[in-house]
Amino acid sequence: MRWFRQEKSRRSALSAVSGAPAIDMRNVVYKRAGKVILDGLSLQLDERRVGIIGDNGSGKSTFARLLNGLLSPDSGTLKVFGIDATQHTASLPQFVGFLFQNPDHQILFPTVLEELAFGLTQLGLKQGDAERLAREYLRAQCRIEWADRPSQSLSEGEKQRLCLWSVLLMKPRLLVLDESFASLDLRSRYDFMAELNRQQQQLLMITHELDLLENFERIVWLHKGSVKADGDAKTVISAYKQYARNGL
Amino acid sequence: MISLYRPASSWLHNHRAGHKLLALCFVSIFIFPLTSLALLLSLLMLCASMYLSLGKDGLAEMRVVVPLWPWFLMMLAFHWYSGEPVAGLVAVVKMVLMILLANLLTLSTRQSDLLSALQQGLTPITWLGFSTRPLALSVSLMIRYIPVLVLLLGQHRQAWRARGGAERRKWLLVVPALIGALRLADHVGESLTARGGVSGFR
Amino acid sequence: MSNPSTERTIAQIALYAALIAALGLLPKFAIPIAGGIPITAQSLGVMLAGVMLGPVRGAIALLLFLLVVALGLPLLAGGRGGIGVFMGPSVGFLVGFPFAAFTCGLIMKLLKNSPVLPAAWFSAAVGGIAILYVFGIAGMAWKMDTTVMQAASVMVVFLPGDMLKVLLAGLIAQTVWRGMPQALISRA
Repeated sequence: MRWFRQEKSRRSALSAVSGAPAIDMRNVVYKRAGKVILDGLSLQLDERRVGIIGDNGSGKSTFARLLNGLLSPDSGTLKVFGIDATQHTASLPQFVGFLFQNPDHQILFPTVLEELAFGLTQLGLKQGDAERLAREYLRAQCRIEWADRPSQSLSEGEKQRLCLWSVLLMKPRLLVLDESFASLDLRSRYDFMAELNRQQQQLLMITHELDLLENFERIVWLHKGSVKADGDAKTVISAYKQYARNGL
Repeated sequence: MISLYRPASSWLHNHRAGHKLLALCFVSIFIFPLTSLALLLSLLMLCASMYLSLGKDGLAEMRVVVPLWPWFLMMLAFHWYSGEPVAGLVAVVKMVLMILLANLLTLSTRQSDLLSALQQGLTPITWLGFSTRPLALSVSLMIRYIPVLVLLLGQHRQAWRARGGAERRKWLLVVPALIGALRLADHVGESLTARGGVSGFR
Repeated sequence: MSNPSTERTIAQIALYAALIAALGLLPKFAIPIAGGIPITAQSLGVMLAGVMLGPVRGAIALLLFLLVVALGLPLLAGGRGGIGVFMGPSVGFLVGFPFAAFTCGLIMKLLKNSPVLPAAWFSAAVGGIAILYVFGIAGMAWKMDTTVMQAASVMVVFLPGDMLKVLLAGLIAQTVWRGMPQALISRA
């Protein structure tokens, strides 16, 4: 009955080191089943919006999962807001919110209100208080009528929005999006992007939708587990498009 | 998700879930040793009047026992055969009474209230360092993913038909459902971890 | 399926419980056999939960399923649910579900080194028929106030259907094993 025992070690109240960059990664290697996925990656990222691009299998998703403690590096050092990611894996989601590709994988509760309230109870709020705050949040979004709707009754775009709100309610400092637009139609994508741009959080976005990244401060192109190009949006995106058309 | 709960405002709905649950336990213990047909029948009348007091549709809720008629018939037959027809009647009335009483609780209590009553009842285990949170979380997860899996099964069935799968070997559809459920569990577990896991940050 | 975490274990248990419910909810998923006795895919789920998830997770998945039924969701085949189902003649079978799944998983684990098909057949037969019937017959004899022999005689009607389920459970486990061996957690 191991999983019914409270895990005391997780109850660490860590605070972010002030002034530390969002992501400080040095020589990070990650292997899966003997295969090298990330090959000595070194990156310091602190821009407000960072885009990650690259082919399928280039290590983008693995990279994203390291940031929120879903995976741990095999070697190298990784600090997220100054916190050692290898030592405090379970505390990282406090600072790093994660939005997955498929909202059906992310929505864990039968109704909208419960889904929103969950994140707040994770932060230590009582169920009643969490539900009251979640209701207020929905009202602020002009979607109070969603509160008691079954989450399965939402459209794909609405579901992804619910996922975003559930994460934002936990007030992470960095929001990681892993192909979170893949299931949305074009209009919902632009709506969603506009909503993201209104937020205070730092953003790290993995996507194949290059035009969504046009205004981003920094783009990193990953190729076979290493950085192929790193710089402003215009340069890196055009280099990547060039490669996509003609190969290396 | 369809529930057997009937939203209404009756005197029974207003009672706390924990109290109703305790009352049901005590009444069951009281009824269990009874063998007097007259007493059981009068209790059944009392129970029926409780249904009646719930409003105009109240009495119709008693239909839950109807589908069990083959069982009742069988019970009467067995006892007839052993030469104790009255004992058979007693057993049937007792079962009907118990089911109807339990159904009163189900139709007048929201499942979330019942779950929190249960969690409250489990308070002693938290003194031993256990948490009831995984329990509540598993219940939510299960209810959340029933419609997702129904949809998944439906999609597999369509794909099966589209490829001309034989009706006779329809059971093979359980295979992708089993694998699909486990794959989904990987994603769900990951997304739970990404939001602080089972125990959160408290 | 490396890296077993608490979160993944809970998700596996909850999703298997949900799958058993979904199999019972799906209309016309009942498999008709000769003799006109319909067998629902749901009861197959009890055997498969043990065979696939192993003893502990399989049993907890069934406990969770029963809890949610008791809370008032009509998830049993035929749309039954609520605490009332635990007062009826089939209470023994319901109580037996987790024990049956546990037995299936345990035997599957003990027969780790034998081929999947016969191992799954044997564990489904012992767990899904022998153990489940012991609980079911005891429950019937108690609730119907009959002798054990009388209650047992009722089961003659269900035996052919349940034997077919054992057959299917084995074939399904074998097919999963060939397609995705790591999905058979009872063997991991």
